[in-house]
Amino acid sequence: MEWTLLIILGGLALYFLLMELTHFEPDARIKAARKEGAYFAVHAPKQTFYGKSFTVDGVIYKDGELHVYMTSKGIFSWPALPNTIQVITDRKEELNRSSSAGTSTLFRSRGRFTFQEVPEGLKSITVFQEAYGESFSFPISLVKGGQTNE
Amino acid sequence: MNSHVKGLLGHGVRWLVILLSLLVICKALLGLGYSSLRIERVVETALNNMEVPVAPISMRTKMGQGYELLLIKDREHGMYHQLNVKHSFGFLWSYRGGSVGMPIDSEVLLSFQGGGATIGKYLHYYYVGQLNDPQISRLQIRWYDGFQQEAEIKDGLYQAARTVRITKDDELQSGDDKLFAYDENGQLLYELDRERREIRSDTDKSE
Repeated sequence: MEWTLLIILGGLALYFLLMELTHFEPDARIKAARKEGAYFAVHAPKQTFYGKSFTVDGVIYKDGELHVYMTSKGIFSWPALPNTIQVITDRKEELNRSSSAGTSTLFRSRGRFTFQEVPEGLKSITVFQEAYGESFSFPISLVKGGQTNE
Repeated sequence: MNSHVKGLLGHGVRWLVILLSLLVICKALLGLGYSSLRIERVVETALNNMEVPVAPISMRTKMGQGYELLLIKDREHGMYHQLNVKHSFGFLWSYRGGSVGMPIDSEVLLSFQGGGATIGKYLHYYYVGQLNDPQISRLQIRWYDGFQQEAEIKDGLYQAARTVRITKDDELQSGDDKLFAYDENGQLLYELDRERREIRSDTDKSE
């Protein structure tokens, strides 16, 4: 009885967990951007927005583009990212979002929000969103060797 | 003695793995968090996902085939939402789409919003809207096929739903659907259809 349960349920669970692993191959863009020094890692505590709990992992800033990588994790809750984000620069200009992409599995949800026509020479940005009184905000430094986005 | 302890430990480990496996399987089978034993939880998840505040269910209308149409009124933020949920196996509620963030406009005397979906062998139709004229005491929908139905009214909003089994070559058709608003004497006050979806007090009253 015990062994039967173990094999059947354990096998099914293992199947779901393996699917989980194969979904998350490291993003080639991040690897390339790291080499060029265009990747800015962020180590910010997670914030909650409409029951979604997430953080910014890092951003790629180069060639007039900004990619914001975000992750949400949850074992007992459902991992979920904000539907849209907004970015305001240190010059108080708002960037226009152009696209987003993401993958979700049982325990982790990862997304990339891409902005185009981003001005050169930004020192910092703020990733935020606000709706009906709830909000989140992540300040991010784009200076190498400066503030480390802790 | 030693082997007895080992045996117990083995049982413990095996049951732990079984429980952890069950957790993973339950999570995988419950879909994207849109299913729950409690209808309120499904509404909360759906509204959270759309990033609008959670508000109480104002009206529940059975559509048929286990589907229910929910009307959620958010008085504080001046809007309402319409969600479709399905009741399966007598205990599980699942979210099946809807429209979120429809504004409650005090200038609108009567509005007529709706749609339909084909699910399996059935066509599901619904209409929702707001009414803001104290003279209106009864709302009636006349469906494309002539079937007449009273809409449920509560707190300045109304809704009506209907499920039709698909017979040969049936398609979603709602072009001729009409809404009639009557006063308490049965006098026709307003009439709306797919072409004309609302009557406003600021522009339409003079007619």
